[in-house]
Amino acid sequence: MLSRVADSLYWIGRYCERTETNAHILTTRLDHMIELSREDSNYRFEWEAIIKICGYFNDFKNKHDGYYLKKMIRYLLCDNENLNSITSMVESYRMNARNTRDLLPNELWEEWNDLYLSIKEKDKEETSIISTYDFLSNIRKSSLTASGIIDSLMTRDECYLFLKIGKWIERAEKTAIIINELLEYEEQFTDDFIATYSLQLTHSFEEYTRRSRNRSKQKVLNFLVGDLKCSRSIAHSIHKIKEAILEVENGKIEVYAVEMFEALAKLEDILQVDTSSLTQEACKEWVKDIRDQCTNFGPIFSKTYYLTPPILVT
Amino acid sequence: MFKPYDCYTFYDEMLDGENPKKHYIPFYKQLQKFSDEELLTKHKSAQSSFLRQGITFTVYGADGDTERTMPFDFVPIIIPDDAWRKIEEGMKQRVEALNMFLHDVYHEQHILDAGIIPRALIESNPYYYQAAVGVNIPLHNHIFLAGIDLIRDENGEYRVLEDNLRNPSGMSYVYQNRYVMRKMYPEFFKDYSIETLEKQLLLMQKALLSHRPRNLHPDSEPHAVLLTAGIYNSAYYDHVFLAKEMNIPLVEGRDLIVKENKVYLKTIRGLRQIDIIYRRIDDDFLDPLVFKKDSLLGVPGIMDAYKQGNVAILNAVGNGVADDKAIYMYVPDMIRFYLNEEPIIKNVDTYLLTDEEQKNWVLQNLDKLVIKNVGASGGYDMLIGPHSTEEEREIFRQKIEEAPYQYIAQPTIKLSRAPAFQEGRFYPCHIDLRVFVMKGKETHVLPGGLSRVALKEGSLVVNSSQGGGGKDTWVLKEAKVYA
Repeated sequence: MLSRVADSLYWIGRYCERTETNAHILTTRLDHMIELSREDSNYRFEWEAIIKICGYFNDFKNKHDGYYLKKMIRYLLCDNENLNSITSMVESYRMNARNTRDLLPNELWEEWNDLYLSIKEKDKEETSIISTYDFLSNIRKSSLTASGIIDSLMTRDECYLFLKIGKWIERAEKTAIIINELLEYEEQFTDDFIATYSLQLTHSFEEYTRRSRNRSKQKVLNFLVGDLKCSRSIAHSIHKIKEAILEVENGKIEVYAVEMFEALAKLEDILQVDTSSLTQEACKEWVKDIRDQCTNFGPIFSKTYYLTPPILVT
Repeated sequence: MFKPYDCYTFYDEMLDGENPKKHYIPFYKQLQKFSDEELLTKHKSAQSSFLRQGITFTVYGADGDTERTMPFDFVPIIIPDDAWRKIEEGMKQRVEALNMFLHDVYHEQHILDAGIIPRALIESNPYYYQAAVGVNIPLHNHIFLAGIDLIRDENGEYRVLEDNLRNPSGMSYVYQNRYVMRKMYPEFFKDYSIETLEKQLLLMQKALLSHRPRNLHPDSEPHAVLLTAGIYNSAYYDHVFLAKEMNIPLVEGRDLIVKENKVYLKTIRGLRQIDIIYRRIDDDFLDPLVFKKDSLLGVPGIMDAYKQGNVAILNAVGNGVADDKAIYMYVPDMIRFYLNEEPIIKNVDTYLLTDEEQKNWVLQNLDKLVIKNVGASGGYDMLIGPHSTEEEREIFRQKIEEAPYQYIAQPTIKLSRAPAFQEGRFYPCHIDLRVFVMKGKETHVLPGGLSRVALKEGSLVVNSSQGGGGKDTWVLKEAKVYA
């Protein structure tokens, strides 16, 4: 497979996953916010955390004063200067898909092209809660449809694996970012809130409550980091990444791939740390370390396969 | 509902006066069964199907680039089998002669020695590339894919308007037009038996792979790629389609690298050598070491690999010298010179403006003629005399005086017309036909081709960049279906 093509597929995987999770995070945030007054002391902190999780906080602060809902929604949904806004990402993966059209199922291209054509028509000034819900719901449905097309129609070759690796790297990193950000607000948020909110934002609330009634911060943390059965946990994502890479490599570890496998092994180790013996401070450090390792893994992977930079919307 | 219109003195593809021509009768009968509303609904879903599938070309404009679809018109151009057989023979003959000409001008130059074509016309031609002189290419074939544009005059006789021997585009539209026609207008195929397009791409793949570079080991399978300029190129969909159908990787210049005169693909497992490049970028951009220095689309060193016989480049480098509009008028002479035959499909009469006598006559008759820049395409830098203002004619008069070698003149041909259904009504539009010829060890002509239609009423310009659209083209299998 061409390095350029592998790169596009990898980024398609990442952008799609990011679009879906960001859409979910925003929906969750809107649900919460409805019951909260702007005067509430946590209003600001909760939004701050969301913008950090979904975008570039400094960029937002440079452009906008305060936390006006309209501005935040516009920034996160359809500000084309924000490369992590939903519309920017849809454009990015549609562009990368155009670039690899000859290798993707036609249905997949049509799904993404349809979504792209529909968001082109979106009125950027329309930021009412109802229309925002609708918009996010369309995005999420399209993401799920695309996942279905990928799984039912794509040959299980390298193209498929690179797409999936991108997806799992993105997922591991996102879960790490969410936990890490929420722990940053220990003084403002209660432990209960952090536990429940991190389950909701990572979209694993249902998964968790089906299995456990104990919603202590400690337990939730262990679940989101190290539980191999949790579809959103970091450990599960890392496991999937390793599985896919081993398939690409036919089960062998060649010289050029040593650094990548070492990074994976290091991640696997750190995820299995027993948190019950950690102090609050040490636990925060531990999560931060996991997040850094997740963030650093992408570039190591790219380097191993000579990937060239992705096409971004300009 | 369709109502016959006045054909005036134009040749109409479908009508003979008030009545349909024989081979259009079944179609005409079906047409009477549909209301305008039904046709409009079909038309809209056909158009949006192109958009959904991203079958678009990019139009560069002041307020950003937009992706547009080529308008599709459902009234097909139907060609009876005997008429098609003549076109097919004519195209094979023409491409054969053009290929011999290309080989000749880059090697022995017999045709110049014989004085059939003025030597100056070749040597001063900007598309005659020194870099291609004497290069020994696979099968001695310069033309892997040609797009020959045909028109019909007022008597219905087919004539060649233009040869495209560099990077003719539009083949994907032939397939998409047929696809949409089958999906949205299945009723109209009733009582017709037409040539299918299904097997043609396999023939094209075979022709492609037959261009084995001379240093390729006889037992090795050749590795081929399609070199595109990327997603911003206006013909990108064409490239995607052909790469997918011929099952070869679609690559960009930055995916290739030349080492020791061999061309390699950059893959996730390092470099892999390739043997055949079907390139869809122009000669000028191929190799920054030889042609345009600032080209980012090409691959440095690729021309050396080509000359050494390590890679085949299709179409060959330097074909522009044969499809130039000034060379065009000599093609009938080429056919006589190389094949000792008379042209089966004639040219449109053409006047060379470097001849003082012809030039003066042309300047006096600008209002009756079409003037074309020999180097331009896509309908640009062109004067259509009968539709021009005195001011426009004055501009061209000056252009011709300044650079007579840059222009040719042709009589205004009454291009044939066919009905089109757009915006809910029928009206006659001028059409032409791009025929695709594929050449490897053998030569094949794609049955039918791309019928292009000038959708602006009265317009003679069929190019998609200037409001032209496309139609499905049917070649009938046997005479009895319409007899």
